[in-house]
Amino acid sequence: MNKDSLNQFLQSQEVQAFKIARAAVGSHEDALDIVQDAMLKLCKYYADKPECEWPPLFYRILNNRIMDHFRKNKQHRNVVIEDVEANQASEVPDSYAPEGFRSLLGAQQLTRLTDALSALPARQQEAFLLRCWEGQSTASTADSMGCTEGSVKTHYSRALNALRQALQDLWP
Amino acid sequence: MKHSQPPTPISSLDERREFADFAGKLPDQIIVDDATRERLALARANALSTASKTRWLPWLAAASVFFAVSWLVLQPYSAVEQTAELAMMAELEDPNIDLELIDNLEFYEWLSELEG
Repeated sequence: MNKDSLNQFLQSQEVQAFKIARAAVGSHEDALDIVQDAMLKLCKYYADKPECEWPPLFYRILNNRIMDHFRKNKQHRNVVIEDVEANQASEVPDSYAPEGFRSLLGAQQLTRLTDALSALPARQQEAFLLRCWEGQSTASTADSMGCTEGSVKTHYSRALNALRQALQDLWP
Repeated sequence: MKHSQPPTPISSLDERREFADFAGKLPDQIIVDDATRERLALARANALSTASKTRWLPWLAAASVFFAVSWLVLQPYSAVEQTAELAMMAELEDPNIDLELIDNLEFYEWLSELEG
């Protein structure tokens, strides 16, 4: 294992991975746990793989951990959505100051998107994460998801439609 | 007759593409502060050190099993051989052995077989 190369690779990816995880799960601590777990798994099981294989492997692990998080929290989803709706109904109070966001609008948009994303079917979640946030091609996403490119296009398109509906009033 | 879906209007496709661009940039709204960066660096260091340690564990376990099996296989054979050799040598070399007693014991054993 070339420890320095692996260290450099992880260093170059950790912030972006954290942002994706944070945006997907909506929790700072959970996002840190997910990224830490992804790094640990990559080091433990795939460190001996060629360096060119690290990026897809790392993002596949990250994606799987995010999907695990969605599955675990599925039973709480309705409660969370009710809470979010209650917050939105109160038109966001002045004291609402989400940590780590560039703007209040961005925070609202992302909160709404996170909730809508957690409500999507698993395959649509996966397609959205891989294509939109991890920037993978249709072919690579199909490979990761173990389906055809046509299926990826369908899942991704449905995910975008659902999310666009959810952000209708917040999307410029 | 085959039913086909009506084609999606181009404006809708453009809108969807725009939305995908917009949604794709949303994670960039998140600011990663110094404390979070430090925690990420710590997590990375832990991952690298844990992986270095655990890489040797399978080899260590395999070596332990190999030595344990080798010891178990060789131990009974060598023990029996050595014990038998030692007993014979002790019998031959012991100057205090009472040959008369052995003769008597053999005689009584023969007598009991005759009567028995």
